[in-house]
Amino acid sequence: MFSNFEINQLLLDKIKDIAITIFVSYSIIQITVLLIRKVFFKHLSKQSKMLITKAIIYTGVIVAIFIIIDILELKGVFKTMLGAAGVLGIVLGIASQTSIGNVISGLFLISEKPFELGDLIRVGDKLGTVYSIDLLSIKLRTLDNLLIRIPNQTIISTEVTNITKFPIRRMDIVIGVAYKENLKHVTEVLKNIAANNPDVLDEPEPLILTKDFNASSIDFTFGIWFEKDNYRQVRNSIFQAITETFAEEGIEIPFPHLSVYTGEVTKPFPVKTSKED
Amino acid sequence: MWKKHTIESNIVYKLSLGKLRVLAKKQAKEWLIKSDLDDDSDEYEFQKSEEQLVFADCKVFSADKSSSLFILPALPDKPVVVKPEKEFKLLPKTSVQLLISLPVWVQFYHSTVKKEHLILDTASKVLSKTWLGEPDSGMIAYSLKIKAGEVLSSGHAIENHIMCPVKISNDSNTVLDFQRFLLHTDQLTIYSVENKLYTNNVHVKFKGEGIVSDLNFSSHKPDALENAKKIAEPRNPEKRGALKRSFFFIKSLTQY
Repeated sequence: MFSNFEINQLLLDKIKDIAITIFVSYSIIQITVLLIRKVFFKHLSKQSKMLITKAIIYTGVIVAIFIIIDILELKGVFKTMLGAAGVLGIVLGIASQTSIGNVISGLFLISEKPFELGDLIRVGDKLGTVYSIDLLSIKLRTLDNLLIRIPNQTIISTEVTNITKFPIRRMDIVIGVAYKENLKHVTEVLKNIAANNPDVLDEPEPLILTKDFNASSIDFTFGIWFEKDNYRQVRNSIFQAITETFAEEGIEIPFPHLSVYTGEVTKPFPVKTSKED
Repeated sequence: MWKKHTIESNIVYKLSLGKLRVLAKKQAKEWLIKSDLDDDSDEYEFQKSEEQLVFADCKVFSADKSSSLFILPALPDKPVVVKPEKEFKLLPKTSVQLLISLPVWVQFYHSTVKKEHLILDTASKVLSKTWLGEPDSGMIAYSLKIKAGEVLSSGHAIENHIMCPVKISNDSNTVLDFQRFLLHTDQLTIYSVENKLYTNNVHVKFKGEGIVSDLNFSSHKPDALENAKKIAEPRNPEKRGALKRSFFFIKSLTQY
């Protein structure tokens, strides 16, 4: 049997071994991450760098945990616990169903790559840049700097729109003009507006389409292509150009209005006035 | 204009190149630079100016004591997609010589002509942008329309422009429907003769649809310009021999 002194000494030795294990594991993980970054990370995307770093850290932590279990000689204890934990295991499994679902969904997302770190995406009514892609969820940073956490299962089962996936985009603007306007003239004016804007691409060619005969106007779809980073600049400059050029060319953008008829189009609308005594 | 200038301190100098106006001033260890495009301007000079430079409107560069300023021409900083105003067809085994006029870019270097001493790199004319390739992949380029059939033999040059002689040969057995052509301006050298600017020759050999064309840049000045002097190096001299296709036939699928 061990004396109190010997037990204390054994305990101290184990604590010392655990401390050394933690320190060495931490150092090895940090050095490995640093070396991998210097050697391999030059040509990788932000997302790949993040995933590789996390994989190294998680692997290092799991190995350290197993070493600590070995130091504490708890293998036998764990075996016994696992053996007797049949019912507990089932309960834990059911309780962590959502978490496991999120992890598996996360793995599918990683392999499918519908978006990467820094992409601007829309999930339902949430719009933001991808801030991090984690084991259970992704995090979006909204345009007004809020952080939204979306579980991976939600991402997998929802429609996700990646707005900045491709290098160029088209902005579709619906413009209504008065019924009296000459449609050919309007088309020419829109072509010139696009041609005179240095940020609007010549090709793919701008789309000018007569869309609809609406209640108060004839609607055009005016689609212009631009580099994805120039969205705000292009939008502001094009709206300004449309307003100014239409005014110069005398093209009316009508307000919604309603014409009321009493029965026959040609007869004047009857108006009766009365005088109060 | 395209040479080394010695600048007096605290005096504003003005460069006018067509519609481009640049004001520059050296003070102590700083350069103040302001550039803009003026639709009403059409001059070609570099001299002292009475105009004032407002600090808030300028870009400021720290520099050494040197009062040397090198003004050099440069070619556009992106490739240029050249489109004839009307499509023309090149018959098999024939060639055409084009003279493409590219707006000049102006570069200012302080002290010496080194990349780290570049304090201005601006266009004398705004070129519209275009996309070469499919909407999901490709490259941004400038767009330029030329008159079909311009030839080098007249030897004319336009002020504020750099003339680029391009020979296009149809080495295939099919008719080349010349819609647009990508000019890699970052690999061209600039030569000067009698204040006119030219690049080295470019020769494109079309070998057939689906086959990569040959694109060659001559390593010397155009033959017709014996007295020309080299005035500026290519922006990107290392990438010799473009491997990408120079001709783009596939129309964008996004017509709706």
